Amino acid sequence: MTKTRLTGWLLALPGLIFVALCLVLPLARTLREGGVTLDVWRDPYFQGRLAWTLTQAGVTAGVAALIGVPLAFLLSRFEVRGRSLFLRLLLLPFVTPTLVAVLGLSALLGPQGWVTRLTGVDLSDTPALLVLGNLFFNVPVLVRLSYAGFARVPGNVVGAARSLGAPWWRAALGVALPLALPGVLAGVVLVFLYSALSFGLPLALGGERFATLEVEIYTLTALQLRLSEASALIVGQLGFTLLATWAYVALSRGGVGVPSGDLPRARGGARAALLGLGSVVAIVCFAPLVAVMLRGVLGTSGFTLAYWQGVLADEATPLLVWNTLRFGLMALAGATLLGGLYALGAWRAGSRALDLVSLLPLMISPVSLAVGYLLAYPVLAATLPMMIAAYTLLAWPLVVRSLLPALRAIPPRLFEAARSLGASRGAAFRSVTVPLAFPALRGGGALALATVLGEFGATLVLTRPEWATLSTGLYERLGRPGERNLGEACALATALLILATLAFTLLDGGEGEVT
Amino acid sequence: MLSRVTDLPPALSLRDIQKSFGGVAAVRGVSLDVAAGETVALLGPSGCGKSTVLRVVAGLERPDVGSVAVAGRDVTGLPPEARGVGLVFQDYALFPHLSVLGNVAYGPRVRGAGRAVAEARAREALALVDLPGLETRRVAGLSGGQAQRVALARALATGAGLLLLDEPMSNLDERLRAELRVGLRSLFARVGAGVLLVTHDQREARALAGRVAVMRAGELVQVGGAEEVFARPATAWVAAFLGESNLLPDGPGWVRFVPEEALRPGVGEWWSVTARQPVEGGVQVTVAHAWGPLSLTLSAREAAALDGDRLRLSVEESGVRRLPEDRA
Repeated sequence: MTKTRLTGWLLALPGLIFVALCLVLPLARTLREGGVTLDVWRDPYFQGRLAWTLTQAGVTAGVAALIGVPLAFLLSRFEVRGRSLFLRLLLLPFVTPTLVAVLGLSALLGPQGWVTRLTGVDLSDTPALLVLGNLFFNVPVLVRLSYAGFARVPGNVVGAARSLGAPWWRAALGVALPLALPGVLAGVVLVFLYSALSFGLPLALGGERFATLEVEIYTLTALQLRLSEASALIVGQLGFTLLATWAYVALSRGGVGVPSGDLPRARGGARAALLGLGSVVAIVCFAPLVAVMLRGVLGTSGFTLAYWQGVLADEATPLLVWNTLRFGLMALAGATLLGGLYALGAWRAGSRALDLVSLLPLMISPVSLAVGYLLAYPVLAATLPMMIAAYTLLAWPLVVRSLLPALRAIPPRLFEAARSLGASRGAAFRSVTVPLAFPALRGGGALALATVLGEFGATLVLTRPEWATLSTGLYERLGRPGERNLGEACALATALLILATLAFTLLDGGEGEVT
Repeated sequence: MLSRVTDLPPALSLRDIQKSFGGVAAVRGVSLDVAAGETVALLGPSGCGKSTVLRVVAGLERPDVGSVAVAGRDVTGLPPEARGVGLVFQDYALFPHLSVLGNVAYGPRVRGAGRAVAEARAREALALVDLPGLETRRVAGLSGGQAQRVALARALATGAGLLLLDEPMSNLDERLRAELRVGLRSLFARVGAGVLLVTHDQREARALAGRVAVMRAGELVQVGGAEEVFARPATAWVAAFLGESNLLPDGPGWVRFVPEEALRPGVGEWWSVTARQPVEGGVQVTVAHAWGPLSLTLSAREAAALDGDRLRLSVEESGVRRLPEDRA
């Protein structure tokens, strides 16, 4: 092992220890407590749950690909006014707390939703709501990843195919798509994973009939205390998760694409397709957000500020905001430090294994983790370090995933040039590597902060009353009946959304890339 | 062919440099001196190890065996920043986050100069490469020729006594190259530094270098004054690499090298012409000589000597040389 690689592993060590303590150990503890009895998998009920989990994730990935891939292709090939704004707005669902999305979808398509009342079609008993929720979060992932993939395909290659006699659609399918395919497939795999593992959405939108494996694990561990069956499910879920994660890492090589200049304006069919697909994506991704905001100011008798006044008059609100910000910033500090070192280490070590490890926190069932925390660290349960650690674990991968590609995209020649001009190793790092990678660190940090601000799963399991955050306050209001509480929840959700967007925009220089 | 005798130590002195990558020997015992004020071209086909030699000199690679001395000081164990050499990369490696001035002032800055001093040095260097007025530009917007000169100015601004250039013109178009060949030659003369230039282009070597070292598969096969090497290649491989085509078998292990200067069209015996092709400055013909096919370029005047598919041709024997055959 060379010295550089060794330094890399050393830099990654704090992150690895952190993952070992906060992820591997609690998870192992959960599994040991349950003992793994794979007999559970003979039960047709659980087989059905697995099949449904994979089906809904597959349907989501398929629909997202059908809408997102063509749109990404068109965006990368034509001069589209407002493209960068559109791509940045697509980050909104990333920073939207799950509960806010649930509220938005219910406001539109729930039993009492505006669309439901308008059309008379009630989707709330079908899996459509769950798939729509999945799409809300995942279409942006696919559009942004595929766009980066297509942007890497040089325009003159497509031009060459056209001049050799291929019509535009053949050039797109035969040349551009195969070249961009690794990026596109990586996006599809990621969407599949996120959809298969999401917890809040199927819990709130799926109901018992459409519960996924993750919800089943939650029910078995938290409600029925049948740990051995849960363990078997966790192991099965881990299996396909690791397989898909490995596929994702193997597919998503290569740097960030630089869109070529001088693109033609879209006309005719391409223009219609851009408008159509763009509108579909905009509706899927932005309508729930708009619905939440409107629901916070619209009562049964029209426009009202009563919900906002209620929220603002509540003396608990300042505490909610303060806690949300405080925990968010603490987690941000931890994630930036650990993630920054880890990304540097993985970059220097050039190790795919380190790459894979940094994805684990995104892929492991949060419920089994939370249970593992309580089992592995009974003394620390309901202490602040425990909760900050849980937050940091969620935020850490986002910093790593943003910083690592940026570091890899820096040509090694630049560092060598600095050295030969007289800069020491440290000086070259400070004056070349840091300024070039800093925008990505900011972007990752911004995303991490926004995500933590809206977190509620871990908070719910590990919190104490005096640590209530905006999202737990929101959850609590949702649990109470009545028009007023729903309105106030939507007002809180709006505040949370604004806070997350603000934090994201302030911290991010506009160059954050999320994969 | 040292043009002047000085007491100065050579700007660069390489002794028996060897370097392998994963068991493959890239450089196999290279020794070479570059005197102060002298330009040496390290000339060879791609993959011959010449860029590795350059990286060893710059300190970006450690040699397995051998020593590197810069201005008489052994720097073999020193990191790149302590060597005091100016390196110009093939792809320039300009810092995208800095302006033109920031790039050029970078060297003086990291060597401890204050901002004002560093920027004054940078402006001097930019004037030296004839590129004033672009100081505040971002490097992303520069043309190929401009980027090349910024990279050169950046290396010059450190005041290094040894300049290393890696294929300095490979990314430029033909017109720019012709311009730069003239410009670089006078620039090297003004700067007075030793220059080691790595290239696969013999015209570049001929135009810029006082001495040429021809490299093949990790070894130097011929070192000498530029004119000497081009006029008297040491082996058949060198002659072929330098673009000579009249290398005819002459017994086992030897070839007969017939330079075009030794061919006298229009006199002597008639030989049949097997191929002809118009080229820049005349017509290139291949003659079926008793020794084997000989090719030469006839000027318009000389082409008048052609009689259908026949040409009178004599060979001046004193110009013909026997070279060892070392081509695979």
